[in-house]
This record gives sequence, C-alpha cells and structure tokens, in this order.
Amino acid sequence: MTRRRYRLATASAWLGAALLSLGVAAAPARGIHRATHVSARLLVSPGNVPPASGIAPGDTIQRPIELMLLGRGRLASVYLEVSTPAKTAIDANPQQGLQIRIDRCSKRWRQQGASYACSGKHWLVLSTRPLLGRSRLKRLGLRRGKRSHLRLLLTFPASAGNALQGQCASIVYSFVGIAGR
Amino acid sequence: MMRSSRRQRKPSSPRRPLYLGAAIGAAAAVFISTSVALAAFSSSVTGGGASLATKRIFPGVRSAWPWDIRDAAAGGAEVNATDPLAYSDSVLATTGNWTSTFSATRFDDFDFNAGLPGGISVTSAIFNFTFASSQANKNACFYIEVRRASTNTLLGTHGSSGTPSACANAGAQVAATVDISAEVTSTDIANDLRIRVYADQSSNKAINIDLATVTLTTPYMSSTALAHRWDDEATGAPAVTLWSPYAVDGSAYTSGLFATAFSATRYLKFTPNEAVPAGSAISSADVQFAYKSAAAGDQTCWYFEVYNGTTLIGTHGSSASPVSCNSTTSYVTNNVSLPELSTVAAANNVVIKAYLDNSGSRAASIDLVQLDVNYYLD
Repeated sequence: MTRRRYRLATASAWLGAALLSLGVAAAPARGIHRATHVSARLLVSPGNVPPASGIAPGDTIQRPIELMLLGRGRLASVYLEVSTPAKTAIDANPQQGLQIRIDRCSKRWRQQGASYACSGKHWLVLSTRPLLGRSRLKRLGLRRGKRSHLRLLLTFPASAGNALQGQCASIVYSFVGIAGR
Repeated sequence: MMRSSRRQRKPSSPRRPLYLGAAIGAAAAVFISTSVALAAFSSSVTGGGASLATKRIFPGVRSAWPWDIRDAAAGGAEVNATDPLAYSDSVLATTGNWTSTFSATRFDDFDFNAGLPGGISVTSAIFNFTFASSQANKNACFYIEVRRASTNTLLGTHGSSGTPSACANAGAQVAATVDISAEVTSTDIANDLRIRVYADQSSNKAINIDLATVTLTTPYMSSTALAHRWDDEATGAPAVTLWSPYAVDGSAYTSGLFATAFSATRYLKFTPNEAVPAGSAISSADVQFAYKSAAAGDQTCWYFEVYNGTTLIGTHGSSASPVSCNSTTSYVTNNVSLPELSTVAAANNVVIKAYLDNSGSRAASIDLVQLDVNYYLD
C-alpha cells in the first residue's frame, strides 16, 4: 500500500510538473515576446575603447561611446558593469584609484585635442564613482534606432600616491539592459 | 475523549499522495518557469574592454645639490672645495678619536637624501666606506647600522663588535662595501637614510674617511646618495657637519676672495648630483641660489652660466646686468628658471658656473645651490 502510494505520488508530481510547466512557460513567453525581451537589445560602439597609458594623478581620460537600442520593446533600466580579471591598485582602490563618470550629449562628441566636446544638450548619466562595480544609468535617452552619445570620463585622483606608479589594469565593461513590460 | 476523537478521525485517503505529488510538481514547475521567464527579461551587451597604465614615475620636482665645488674666486687655478666624503679622491675627512674597543656611544652618523622620486623599488643599495687608520701601523675596524634619518629608527645591523664589517690594518686604506639592500628597499627610504658607523682604532686615535656614500640601483636609474649631514660622535660627543649648499640653514660655503668687478676667471663651479632616469620627460628646471657677502657692508652680485658637461647651454644675467645683488647681511635666494635643461643628458651633466663680484674684494657666502627638475617617466 505504501509503495503504491509512493508511485502514485511520483507519477502525479511529474504529470503536474509537466502540465504546469507547459502552461506557465507558454503564457509568459508570449507576454515576454510582446514585452520585447527577445528583441530589445543594446548595441555599444566601439567595443574595445582605445587604451590609455602614461596616466598621472589628476589626469582625466575621455572616451566617446555610442549606445543604441535595437529591436522592439523597451528597457526598464540599464546598468553599467565594470570588472577586471585581476584587481590592481589603480582600479580597485576606491579612494585613490580610477573614478568613472558618464555624460550624454544630444549630439555626437567631437575630439578637441585630448578631450571631447559637444555643442548639444548635456545630461549626467552616471555621477563620479569608483570604476569597478555595477551602477544604474540614468537619462540615457534610449530610443529605438537612435544613438545615445556618451562620453566616458576616467579620472585618476590628484591625491593618488607614488604607490600607484607603474601600474597596469585591464577592465571589462558591459551595458546591461533589463527589459520592461 | 481521546478514544472518541480517534474514532472521529477520517481514514487516510488513497488519493492524498496524488494531491501532494501534484502540488510539489506544480511548485517546481512554477519555480523553473518563472526563473526562465525572469532571466529572459534581461538582455545584456558586453561592451568590451580597455587597458590602462599609469606613468612609471609620476610628475614631480626632484632636487639635487652640488657636492663638487670648484672655487676660482681668486682668479687663479680652481680650488677643489668638494665634500671630502663624497668622492674617492684622496680628499679626506678626519674623525675624532675613537677607542681601541667598540662602544655603543661612539659612532658616526651619515645622513643621505638621494633626491630620487618616491615610491620606486630599490633593487640594490651598497654602502661604500673607504677609510684608514690615521696612524701608520695601526688598525681600525667598523660595522654599521641602517636607520631612517628622520626618526632614527633602526632598520638593520651589518657586522658587530665581534665581527666587524671590515678592518683597515697597518694604516692601509680599505675600500669597504656593505650590502644594505635588505633595508633600503624603496626610494622613500633612500631619501631618508642614515648609516651609523661604529668604529674602533687600536691606539685610540682618529680614522680618515675618503668616501661615505650609498650606491643605489632602481629599475629606472642608478645614482649615488651623498651625505648632507655628518655627525661625528667618535669621541662620544656630537660634532655635526652640514654640507653647506644643501639647505638654507646658515651653514654656508665661504668662497675665496672675489674682486670688485666681474671677471671671466673669477667664479664658483657647482656640479649637482642629478640622476634623472633615461627616457624621462622634463617639464621644467630651475636653480635656487642663496648668497650674501661674507663681510658686513659689502655688496655681492652674481650671474651664471649653465653647462652640459663642458658645453655652454645657457647664460642668465651678465656682468652688466647681474641676476641680482645683495648688500644686506641676510641671505637672498634667487630662483632662476633653466629652460635649457630640457634633456636627461643635460640635467645629469649640468654644471652651474657662477660669476660673482664683491665691493670689498672679499669672500661671498653661499648657503644654497639647489637644482630642481620637474620630470616624469611614462
């Protein structure tokens, strides 16, 4: 009797799981598709930004980046994730290490010497914070097929000490979009 | 009551496991499906990467001072006024009298400032000590301690009273070296270094020192640190000698006798001990020069030339238009920019040739000659 009950329970569990999986997964799948999670995606250009060397305390490195929303649907939020395979003092030190800030302009950033300028309207996308980590980006102005003109500013604090001389770092950055309904 | 309640309990239903299993299965399905669905809400773009590198040496002003001074104030041949401790040149410094056995209260302190950029590892540090007993046929020995000059903190000891670092027997001069790399591991220490020498002399007399320097090697440059302060406590009592052009501290170099008019043959020649790493970019350079007349009531004026070795590369002021004049009894410090010092070779071979005159045909006092070079290394 006990064995029979056990078999009954197992069989019904599998059956229930199969039926409900089918139902639950099928319904949201159509919903997500409508919410464009399949097609809404970000495209960043360029992928690898030009390297920066000879950085000294007080320096700011500027790199323009174009972010684009492709596909259908919209993104509820976008995050920037910066990581490194091997931490060094210049990327991992929250006080004396590199700091990041992102600005957006309504027009394309134009190079002027070692810096980039834009004559359009400006927005602060990410206020200055330590380089590594995950941060939510604001005022990206993402619209399908339109480029969001971003400028990355990496600042090496003037207070950085001599211990940070001769340091190298490789960072990986990702824009992570979270799809909305 | 108990019996009654048992009787009232419903017999267990054979369908109960079926409901339970269905519930578990449903829960698992909901969990899996929801996870898949939520994961599908995220979309990410791997942006890419970037490589970043800081300068090997950050921009900054590093100073050098001349331990090599040639004095031609009198207009004749140059007089060698070089620091006796700085070069192995048979120009000797003589200590006070030691005892025939080592004593914890009898030592010589040599303080060094390498003038190097901070924060750089030192791969090799060697203390050079060339010495001899002041008396023929007598012996002298020494051992050392490595300390921080600013705090007198002991970093390490080399040798001992029982096993000295070296001995110079029978009056012979010995060029000893002691490897202090274990203690001098960075330029921060090299710029704030004290070597304490404990010595003995077999007849309780002085020793002669020809050289007391530290040779430093870093990944970017080699240099020699020279002593700016020598505290001879051989007798057990301090006797401090400051190298006069190192700081505005009242310890001045007194020249020979100048004339009332400038002359091409009357000058002081200073060779700073500069060590700019190869490949460095020099942003600026200047010289600080503090001087006055040795005798009150006189006026001293000066102008100078800058040489890269023996090649003239710049002139500042002239006999008709000196850099400045000082008729007071206080030191006047001039800070003069040296734009001609734009290369590493020029900085490392610079010679400052100062022409002076003195209204009383007397000496001048020079309290500071400091070369400041602002550079960095990518």
